[in-house]
Amino acid sequence: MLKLVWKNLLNKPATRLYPVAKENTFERTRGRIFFEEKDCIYCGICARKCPADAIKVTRASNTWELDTLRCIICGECVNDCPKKCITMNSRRRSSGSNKKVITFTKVKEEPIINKDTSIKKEPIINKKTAVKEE
Amino acid sequence: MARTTIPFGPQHPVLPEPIQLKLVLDDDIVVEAIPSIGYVHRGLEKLAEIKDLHQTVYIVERVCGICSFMHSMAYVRGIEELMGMQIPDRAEYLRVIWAEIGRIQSHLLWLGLIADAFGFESLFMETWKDREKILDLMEMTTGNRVIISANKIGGTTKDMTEEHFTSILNTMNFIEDKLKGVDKVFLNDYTVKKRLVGVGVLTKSDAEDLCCVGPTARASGIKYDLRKTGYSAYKYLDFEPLVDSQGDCYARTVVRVNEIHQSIDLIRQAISKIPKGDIAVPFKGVVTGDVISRLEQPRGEVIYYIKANGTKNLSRLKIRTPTFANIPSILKMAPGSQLADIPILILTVDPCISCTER
Repeated sequence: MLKLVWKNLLNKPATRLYPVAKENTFERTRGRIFFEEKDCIYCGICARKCPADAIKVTRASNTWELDTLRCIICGECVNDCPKKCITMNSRRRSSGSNKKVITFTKVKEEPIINKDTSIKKEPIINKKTAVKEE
Repeated sequence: MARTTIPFGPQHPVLPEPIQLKLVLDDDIVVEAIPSIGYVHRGLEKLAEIKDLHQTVYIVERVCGICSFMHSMAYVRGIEELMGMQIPDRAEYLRVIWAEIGRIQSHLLWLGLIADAFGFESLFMETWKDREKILDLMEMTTGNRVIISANKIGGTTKDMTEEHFTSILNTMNFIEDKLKGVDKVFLNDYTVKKRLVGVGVLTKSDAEDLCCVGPTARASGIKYDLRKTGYSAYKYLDFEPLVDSQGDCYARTVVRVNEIHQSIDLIRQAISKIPKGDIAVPFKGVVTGDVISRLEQPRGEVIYYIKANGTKNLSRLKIRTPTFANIPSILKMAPGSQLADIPILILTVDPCISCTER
């Protein structure tokens, strides 16, 4: 026991100086979920599989919502998305001061009523709405 | 002096989770203990009837934070038995490695709590500092430290590489080295022995009558370890249940300290024998019927009763956790002991109240 006491006296402290010192994460660490809206087809598989009911998909208005406080970062949505729009990386969420629901909306393309086929179709405009804070 | 009744809990600095014991005292000696539970009931068994089969794996993991991997292992083993699935050998070995790492971190947590219960705070900090290395192993292989979500119906979700195995073996060497110093304090120190030896004796016949499970029963001389029935990959590994015959708090400490060394040995055997192959088989079809699945958790034997009726939700999920079987032994040991020994008595059966009241 005395040897342990001497070793502890002479070594540096075992606690990490949070928040100045960053934690060391591993490559498989589950940090947070990211969503890319350009390939999403709003099929709703991610919303059905989510165990915590954190994702809401509305096909009619092309909206994809994620409630970041309900998400348990299990990775089911990442594995099941058919278009691979959802990814997970190893940096954890930082703490915030209010509850956030992140909403992504895709504006539908305008129908072109024009018989002239040399005119190209207009591209889809992706619009990310402001983060709605409650 | 007349008898007084004082409430011990539900809020008490020494208890990890809320349980209430009303103690009837005669001067300083406890005459009777009346328990009352229900402070952390969350209704998880009902939630399993609403979510579908695959989402229930995540619910069942969150029944307890310390023995969380083995809850999910018992659930998926029950469903796999109902469907007649044969899962690959590599998945069985991976489950055993994670289960034994979970057992080591649970016993190290308990050693820290018992040191805190008799006031030896620096030993508590020292034990939990070593436990951090084990939690780092969990994070390196699966992504989370405590609730690891590594099981799914049909196998495991993640695989381990050769580098992971090397890291695990290095950490096992490190833990064995550190435990040489810490074990000496728990088993040989004069003040520790004064608090533990002869306190809370549970005889072998009492332990059999009250149906105790786990290290509580093994410390009273009952040689019963459910891992010897050979479920999962335990049939390929070589070990014997550890027993002690004294039945007091010191014997329960000795059994748990030796179980850490036994788990280190089991992990080394499993890593040397693990075969190559797939880690999961696909899930096809519907589930009907009912099944009972039993496992050895760090605290004893857990029993899962699963009843399915062909839809995607279960019809009933019932869990009998080991602490529920061990609580009557606290009520048997308490009469006759002093008031200052009650925290030690409660902690030596290793109560996990969130398991008990899902």
